[in-house]
Amino acid sequence: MEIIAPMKALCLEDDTVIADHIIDLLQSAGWQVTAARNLAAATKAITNEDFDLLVLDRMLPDGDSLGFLRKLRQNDVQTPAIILTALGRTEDKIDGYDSGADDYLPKPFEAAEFNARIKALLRRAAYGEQKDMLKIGQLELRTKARTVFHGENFIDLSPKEFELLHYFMARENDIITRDMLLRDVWGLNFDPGTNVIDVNIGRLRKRIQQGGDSVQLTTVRGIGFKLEEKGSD
Amino acid sequence: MNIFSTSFARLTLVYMAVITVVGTGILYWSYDAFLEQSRDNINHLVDTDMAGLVSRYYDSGDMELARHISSALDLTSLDNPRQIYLFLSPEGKKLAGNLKSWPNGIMPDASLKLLNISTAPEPQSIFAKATLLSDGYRILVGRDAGAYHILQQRMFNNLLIGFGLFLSTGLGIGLLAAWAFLRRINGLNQLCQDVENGDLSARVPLWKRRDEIDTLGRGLNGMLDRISALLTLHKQTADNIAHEIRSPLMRLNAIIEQGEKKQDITADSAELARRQIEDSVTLLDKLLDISRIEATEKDRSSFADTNFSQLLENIAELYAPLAEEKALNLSVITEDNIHISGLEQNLSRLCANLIDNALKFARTKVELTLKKNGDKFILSISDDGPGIDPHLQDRIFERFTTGNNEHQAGTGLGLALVKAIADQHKMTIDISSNSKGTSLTLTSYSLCTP
Repeated sequence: MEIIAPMKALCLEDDTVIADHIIDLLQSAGWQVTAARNLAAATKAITNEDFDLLVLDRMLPDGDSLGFLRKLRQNDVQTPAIILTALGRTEDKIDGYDSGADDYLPKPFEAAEFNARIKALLRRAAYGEQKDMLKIGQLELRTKARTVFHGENFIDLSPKEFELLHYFMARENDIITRDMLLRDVWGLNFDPGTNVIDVNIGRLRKRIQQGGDSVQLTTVRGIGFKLEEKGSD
Repeated sequence: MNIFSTSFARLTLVYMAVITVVGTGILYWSYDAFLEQSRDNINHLVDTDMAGLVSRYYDSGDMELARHISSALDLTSLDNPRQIYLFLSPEGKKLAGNLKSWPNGIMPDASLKLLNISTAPEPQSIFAKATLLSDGYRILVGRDAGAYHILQQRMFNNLLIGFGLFLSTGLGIGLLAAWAFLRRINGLNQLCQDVENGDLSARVPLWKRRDEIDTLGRGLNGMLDRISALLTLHKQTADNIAHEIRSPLMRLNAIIEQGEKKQDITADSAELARRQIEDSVTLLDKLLDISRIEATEKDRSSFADTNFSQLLENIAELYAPLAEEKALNLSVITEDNIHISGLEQNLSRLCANLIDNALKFARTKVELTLKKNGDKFILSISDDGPGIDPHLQDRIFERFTTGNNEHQAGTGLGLALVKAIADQHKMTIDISSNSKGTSLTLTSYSLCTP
């Protein structure tokens, strides 16, 4: 992760092993991390310092962090927040988003998934203003006209495929996880189980390749997918 | 519980005491009024009599009056109470009458008195009044009070009987009602005791009445039914978890042991290990989701108007590439804008699982239709797969029942989840299956007006 100035993250987690793991992941990505073991400590930390990211566990010794987050949002603290929790069911996720979480990652999670989520979370603000024209390699997507060209070749996409490609093009080089796609493209908070997302990506990959080979939609093993210019690595 | 310690018994007794007092009071009032009436009658008789005698005295003199009294006494009336007369000369000498001497306690002031005369010929009780005539003559007129006393006694006896009846029936009915009430309340208390002691199969005996105690009993029984069902569900989920989690953990253990043996964990084996963890988490989530949905089956507080047509198309679109890859024809025919009341994520899940399941078994095609039919909607999904074994048809919605396609075996939770969500949304599911395919039809009346 390419972070220039050290950014500050608050990690609220009571389990020592998991807390150390998260702190390690964040520090490897260049974050300056403040650890809090309970809501009281987190409240103290957040009144003293400004953070760029909140990583919150839900079930803490002194309560559920959703209430804490809701209070922050009511006080207009818009710091991106990701919930990492053992409460991973669909309804828990909905509760999490309703309380003002920007992302919700059930435990156990993998390092790569966590990194991808954090990156996406920070980028999200930047996506806010939609650019009309997105371009990676020879691949050009126009939002208003809803057209996609690979070089000179027009690529015919279904509305959903267009939406999917747009999602990837707006997040060039980012790892996009299956959960993110399900949530953001299909609006689903559950995992349908079978390889249905992979098949959809496979079809999109084929469509893109029909027009040329300047970009590739690669599968990142065990985590998700990435759209990048060919030979960019 | 002591019958007198029940609030119902106390209330009944107080009520009965009030009734007894009021009832006896009314009886006493009529008793008193009746006696007063009969005294008035006697008074009237005596007055008339007295007036006749007095006018006779002034018209015809003392000898004539004495003679008149004597002859009147000879003609004793059988109907009226016996007449009593005493006519005295100014010297106190008896001129006529059937009293021996002037009784004590009566003054010639013309007011009616009840007198007890103990002298011979026999002791008697009389009503009498006396008056003073000119020249010192005195006359007493009265009536025998024997009949009046008999009446008074009888009336008093009636009063006592009335009081006794009020008291005994009141007490009897009160205790009977309290006893009956207590018996039924004891049923409820017994239930609480039994449940407290851990017997969740205990139920309140109902009396097949539509009263408040039976309603309460029915409510308690219903509550216990629900709690028992939930406990069974939770126990089932706990058993499922304990049982099913072992396989992925066992595999994980095997992978670690292999890695240890070879002193090397390859990327492949790490990936395989991760997949075991993922599988267990998925399994746990699904089981917990099913049990949560089943447990909150009756809670529809967060239901919202959902465009089911759109939702189904969205899910079908998600699965279209999968169907294409399997060279299956997934056709979707939906009537537009069918709105139902429900939970969007759960309904999406229901559709996803149905389609996923059908795609697993279909040979060439899967057909989805959603249409309105009057005030209900019908969602049907059919495949041309090998069909479900007849002996499995009843069980396919149970957890961990997997189909007969060995290459496509899933977790066995997909259709259990479908059933839980369908129940939550009051949808009925019909299965028809033969060797040419399977068709599931979901029907529901939870339509919303768009």
